[in-house]
Order: sequence, then structure tokens, then C-alpha cells
Amino acid sequence: MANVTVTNLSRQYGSFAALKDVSFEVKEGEFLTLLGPSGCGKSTTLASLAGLDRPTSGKITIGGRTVFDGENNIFIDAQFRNLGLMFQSYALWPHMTVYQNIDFALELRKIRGAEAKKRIEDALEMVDMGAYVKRYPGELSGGQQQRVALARTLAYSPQILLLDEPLSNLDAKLREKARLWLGDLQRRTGVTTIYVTHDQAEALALSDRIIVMESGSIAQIGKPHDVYERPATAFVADFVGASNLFSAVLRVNQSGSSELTLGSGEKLVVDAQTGLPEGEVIVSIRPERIELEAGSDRLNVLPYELETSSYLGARNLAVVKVASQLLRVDCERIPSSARGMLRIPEEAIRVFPKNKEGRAL
Amino acid sequence: MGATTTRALEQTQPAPVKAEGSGRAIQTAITIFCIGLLGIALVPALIQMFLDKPLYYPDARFTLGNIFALFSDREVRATFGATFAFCSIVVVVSMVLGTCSAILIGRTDLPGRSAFLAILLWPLFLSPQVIGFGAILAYGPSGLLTIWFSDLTGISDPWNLYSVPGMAIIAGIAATPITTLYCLTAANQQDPSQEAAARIAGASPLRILLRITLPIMRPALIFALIMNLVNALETLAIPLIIGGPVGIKLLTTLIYDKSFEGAGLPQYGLVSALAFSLMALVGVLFFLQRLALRQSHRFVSVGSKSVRPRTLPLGRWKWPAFVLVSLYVVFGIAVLVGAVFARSVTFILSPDVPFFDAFTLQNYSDVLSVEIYRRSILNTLLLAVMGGALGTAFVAAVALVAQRSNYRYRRVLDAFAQLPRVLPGLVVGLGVFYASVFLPVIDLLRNTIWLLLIAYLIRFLSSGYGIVSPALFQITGDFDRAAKSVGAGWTKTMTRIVLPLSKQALLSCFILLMILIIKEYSSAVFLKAPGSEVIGSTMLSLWTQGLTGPVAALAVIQIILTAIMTSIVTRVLGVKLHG
Repeated sequence: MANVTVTNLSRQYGSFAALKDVSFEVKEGEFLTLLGPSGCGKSTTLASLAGLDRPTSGKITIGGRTVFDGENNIFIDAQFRNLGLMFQSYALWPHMTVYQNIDFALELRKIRGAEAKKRIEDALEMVDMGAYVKRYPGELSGGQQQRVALARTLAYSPQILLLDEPLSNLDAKLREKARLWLGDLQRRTGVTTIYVTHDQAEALALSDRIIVMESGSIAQIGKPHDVYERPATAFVADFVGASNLFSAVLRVNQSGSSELTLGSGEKLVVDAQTGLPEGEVIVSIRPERIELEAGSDRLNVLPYELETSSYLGARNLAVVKVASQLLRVDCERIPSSARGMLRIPEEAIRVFPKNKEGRAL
Repeated sequence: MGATTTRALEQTQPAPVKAEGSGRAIQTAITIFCIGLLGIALVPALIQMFLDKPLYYPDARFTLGNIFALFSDREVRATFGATFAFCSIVVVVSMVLGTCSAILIGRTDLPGRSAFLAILLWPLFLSPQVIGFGAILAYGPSGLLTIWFSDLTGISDPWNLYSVPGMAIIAGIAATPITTLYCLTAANQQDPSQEAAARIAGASPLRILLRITLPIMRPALIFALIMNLVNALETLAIPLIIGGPVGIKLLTTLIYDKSFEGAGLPQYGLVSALAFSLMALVGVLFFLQRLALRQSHRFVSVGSKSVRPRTLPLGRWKWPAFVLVSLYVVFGIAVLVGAVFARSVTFILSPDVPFFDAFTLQNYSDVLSVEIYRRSILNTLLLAVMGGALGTAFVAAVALVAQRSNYRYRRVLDAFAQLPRVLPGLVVGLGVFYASVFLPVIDLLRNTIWLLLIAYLIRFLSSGYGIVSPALFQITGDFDRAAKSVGAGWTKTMTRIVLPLSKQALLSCFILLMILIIKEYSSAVFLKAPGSEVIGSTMLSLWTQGLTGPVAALAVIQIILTAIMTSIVTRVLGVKLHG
């Protein structure tokens, strides 16, 4: 178990910057997730932590030991970092049995005999794979391989555990089961874990904290609840949970409260101080926060037309048109009439600055 | 109003579909043709094995004497030891050189890797004949390098090429590129995260190589080992031109010598028994290969390529390794080919005669003006084009029946299509030769290139099938079912849907067959006659007559022809040599 400090980490591939000045800390025993779309730099960060890839500049310390320092030209290879990394492809060695796969790392650490046997058995027991010691990886199902891969990384008690999209090769049902199981296992072992994924549901369910990354930079660091409820940028709002994003014009009226004007002239009142200058902004509203069939006596009530709807079992999705803007709405019941009034609670509206290209940041 | 109704009705009624045949007749025809063709090569030779006199003698009687002679005949027994020693050395040389170069190129930071790769794989397109000629010109007793080395060091006869180890090392060098190719493909297909995982676990680069990389390559190594052994067993050219003059006899050269014995009757029965025992050996080896690779599915890793394949740092071994590979490239490839090129433009190749004094284009003008040389080139080209085209059509027909029909005997046909893999070239040549002295229609083709065409169709059936059949496998059967559902029969489905979709594979097959035919000598030497010479057979007979200059010129022409074909495959068709 160890803590991790990453300071101003950058990685250049030629003229392309895969990582730009990334800094964060991971506390002992914490479960931290790097979340983002492909190409955001999360896998590059993981490879830098693992020592598989040498960053261009910055500094990494793991458990108080500097494993990379660009200024002082320190780089400790993966071989000597004593970490556990579980690969997306599991990377089980096909020519070794389950037992031999786990034993290899123990052999390198001169752990032999009864001690090795016990460690291997314990690790396999922990992932409920005790019965499969003699099997070859090719004789196991995907879910079983995933468990063996995890046992292999845990058996030698690495300082920290790095997980690279470990659930992405499982089917949806198995993935959900594995997610619960993985979270439980991490709590039991208490090992500092850094988890890389592009799946926001996994990130929200497992993490103590989430780092959302976008084009090589950190967009937001926070607890799952904060990231979901108070996204720092329009990108985070969109990537973590689907949001309705559209542009509007922000005005601050005499009383100091903010007001948004939609393209077609409708007005929305915003709860808090946005801290943004007047002008064009990006508005984000979560689909589940919009209330259909609202009385007209309240704030932010607008007329809508029902465009289309789909039945999703536990809940329903309605697509409605407010003026010229299409909004997705999570609702309990599909409205019976084609027209009605909806309410957008003031506290559900989040406003972000608009960048030069006019696109959401 | 009425007219509209009728039209609407017509549209809803199913359009009458002409009944399409199931294709049974044509499938049967293809199967019979394929089995019949292989029968030509095998049946007369098989009968001959059990006769005491040549097949065409009316008083030939049944005997098992030929089979007993395999073990009792002194001359035959004498070849066992040499053949064993030869094969062992060939396999060791080829496996060590091939595996080392594959790992150095595929897995380490060796300087100039991509350039080395191109050069190391290049001899794939050289006929072993050419490598043998090059070896004699460079390393023979009066070879260029031998004399240079003697003059330099004062050691006379520093090495003896005309020995079993000598010719085995040359044959091993000739077989190295194929080993490199197999191992490199395996090295490239490996999931790089398997090595990364070992690194994370704390393993050093050398340990990763020995414990992870090499063991994962095991199926490829076993495959290459057996291919090398088969290749060593059936190779004819190098033992013939290097071992022949000093009387070293291997199984293959014995078969060759016995079928052309000047004095008295050739011992057809014994030759046939020898040929079949060679074939049986090859068959057993392939069977062992299958057995050994049965578990290889375990080694298949379907991995993401998310981790950049990191090459193994050689560290201080970087430049020593570079020097070693360079030495191999220079002395194992460049010198051999260079000697053939140099000899083709000189009267004599000797360190005592300055190159430019000996310079001449006489060899080339001979090759293009002397009737027999010119005919060899033209015959080779004609056979390459015809054999390539007919062979591709034949391979495609067989593959379609075997892979994409519900024909009852399609598995039988599939097995027959793979059979020529165990048929050494000289067995095919011998078999077709026997057929030409015995079978009624085939005997009309004797002394024509058509006989060679038949031999080539048989010999290279498996090679073509090996390209077309996996390509067909990649095309989903849903296309066939969709065609069937709109009313197409088997023949139409194949010609209109499946064949156009496999155009790329068919083109590759065509070019591969052309390359193989241009290089071929082992079946041709049994079938050549005045008028039906090809480059391979002419080079061999000219060499025995001591006409080294024209041989070198023919070899250069052969190299250029195969180089053109190869560049068509790799550049125009975009087929990659490896991966």
C-alpha cells in the first residue's frame, strides 16, 4: 500500500501532446478512477505510472520513492517498481497454467515452496478460482480469465494496483457482477487502486474519487457525487451522465440574479451566481431533472411538444421540443397528450462558458 | 382501372424462377478430375513398386523385393547415415539462424531492423539451385572467397564445401528465410501486453525473452522445425550439385541417380519404393506436426494492442548483434547471390583475374541466341503463365467444392487437395514420368511441355489451395445463403458471388504459382526432353557439363523473373510477406 503523487506530468509524441501538465494525488488505500473517452490521456497516464512508458517531463512518486523525475533524469523501469497491473486483454501467459502464471512473479521475488503455494492458493481463493489451478488460460472463459489476471496481480502484494479497463471484455451482465465483486475485493484488500475506464457507470459505482480527463488534461477531480451533480465543464456534464446541452444568452438583471434567453426568446431563471460575464453560454440540464406536466404557476415553466418517446422498462425517455430546442427527458410516465407544460428547476440548470468555436468546452 | 389491378397483381405474384441445378454434376466432375490427376502421379508409380520389371514389360510380375531392397540394398542403406546427418545439420542451422534473426528483428532495438528484414527474407524467392551454384562459386575449392581466404591467411583448403556438413550448411542457409518468416509472424502476433505483464511482475528483458517470448512462440517453432525437416529430406538441388561430383548420396540424389542410370535398365521398382518411402517419411512428419500442434489453440491470444509493443533493449549487445547479423547478410546471402551475378558477366571468376579484364556479355548473348537456352526461357514463361492460370482455375474449383458446397465427398476432396503437400517434387516428376510411359492418353504428351504442366498442376495444388481456401473461409456463408434465397443455384452462386469476392486471393494464387513454376526444377528434371526444357532443368544439365557461365546467366534471368512477380504481389496487390 502506498500513496501516489503525480506532478506536472507531460508526454509528447512528436508534436502531439498526449499529456499536458497533469498533477494529482492518490491517498493510501484510495480507489481512484481515470475516466475519459479514448485518446484523453488516461492510458498514457497509467503507462507512465506503471513504468511501461517514459513521460517527457514531470515527476511521479509512489510510496515516497521517486520513480520518475524528468528534471533529474530519473526513470525506474516497470521491472523494478513492484506494482500490479491488470491489462485489458488480461495478458495471461498462454503457455503457463493458472498456477504457473501466478508463481512467475513469486519466483522473481524468491518466494518459493510452501509460502509460494499458500500465496497462490490464497490469491485464487480470493477470486473464487481455487478449483482451476491446473488449467491453461485458453481453457477458461473470459470472466474466469479476468479473475485469474486479478489474482496474478494481487498474489505478490504490489504497492499499488493499476487496472486498465479490466471489465471491457466482459458481456453486460457479467460486467455488472464483476463490478460489484471488484469493489468488494478492493475494500477487503485495501490496496491503493488506480482504475482506467471510459465507462462512467463503472467510475461512479467503484471510485472514491474520479479524475475526468479530456485531450491530455484533467477536466475535473472529485467524488462521484460531485462530478455528477456539479460538473466543472460542459464536457464533464456531457461525458458523465448524458446531459441536454444547448446555447443561450446570459443576462444579469438589476436584482443580481441571472437569466438565460433561449434562441426563440423563452427565458429561464438560474438559481445561483454563475460567475460568468454576460453573453453566449452553454447550458446543461440533466434529463431526469426536467419535470413534465407542471403547473404554470411556478418559475421556468415552458410549453413543449412531444416529439417521440421510448419505453425502457424501469423508466421512459421522452424527446420534447421547447421552441426549436430538442430536450431528452427521463420520466416515470410518457405524457398522454402531445402538448403540455414542463418545468426546469432553477437549481438543475448549469451554465458553462462558450469557447471560440462556439462548441461546448 | 382493370389494367392497373392486373399489373398490381403481377407484381405481387412471385416471378417465376428458372429452376437452378444443385451443381451435383459439376461438383462430381471437379472431384473426379482432381482425384484422377493425383492418380496419374501416384497409381503407376505405386504399381511399379510391386513389379520386378518396368511397368510396360508384358512379363512383369508381382514382387515385394523392391520393398525388401530398401533395407537390404547396400547402396540404399549407405544413404541413411548421410541423409540423417545432412537433415540434422540443415535443421539446426536454419532454426538457429532463423529464430535468432526473427527475434532480433521482431523484438529488439537492433539498428537497421527494417532494412535487415527485407534482405533476410529476400532469398525466399531464390531457387535452392541458385544458392547451390553461388556456394560453389564462392566457397568451393576454387571459389572466390576460398582463394581469397587462403591467400590472406596462408591456410590452404580452409574448408571443404564438398562434404555433408558443407552442403548441409548451405542448404540450411537456403532454408533460413522460411524459418525467419514463421517465427517473425508469431513474434508479431504476440500480444505485447504479455511481455509488459512480465515486466510489471519484475522480470528482466533476458528472462522475458527466455520465459515468455520464446515459449509463446513454441507452436511456430515446432511448425518451422517440421517444415525444415521435410524440406531437408526432399531437397534435391544442393545435394545434387554439391554432393554429386564427390559421390555423396542422400535419399533424394539416390532416387535421381537410379532413375537415370546409364548402364542397363533403370531400377524402376526400387526407385519407386524409395520415392514412396520418402513420401511416407514426409507424411509421418506432417502427422507428428499435427499431433504436436493439437494444443496450440491454447497459445492463441486475442489481445488489444493498447500497449505499444516495446522492443527489448539490447544494451551493450546492440552493436555486436548488428555486426553478427551483418556478417550473416554478407556471407550468407550477398556473397552467394553476388558470385552468381559476377559469374554471369565474366569469363572466369577468380581473384587472380581482374574483374574488368574478365568482363563479358557473352553468357547473356549465348543464353538469348543458343536455341536450347532460349527455348528453356520461353518454355518456362509459357508454363508459368499457363500453369498459373489453369492452376488457379483448378485450385478455385476444388476449393469451392471442398469448402462451399454440401457435396457428399467434399471432405475427401479437401484431403486430396492437401495430399501434394507430402509429395516431394521428384516423386511427382517420377510419377508423371511413369504415367507417360504407361497410360494411353498421357503417353501422347511425352516429350512435350504439357507433361510438365500436368506435373506442375499436381505439385502446386496444395500451395494454391493454401492461399485460396483460407480466403474463402473468411467470406461469410451468409452470402451463399442469401444468393440461394433469391433463387440462385450452386454454380451461379459460386461464379457470381463467391468468386468475385475472392478475386484478391485468386490473383495472389496466380502469381504464387507463376513464381513457383519459374523456380521449379525437381519435378522437371524427370520430364524434360529435347524441346521441353525449362530453366531449372537446363541449369542442372549445363552445370554437370561445366558450362558455368550460361548457368549463371540463366540463374540471373530466373532471379529477375521472380523479382518482377514478387514486386507485383507486394506492390500492386498489396500482399504483405509477413503478418
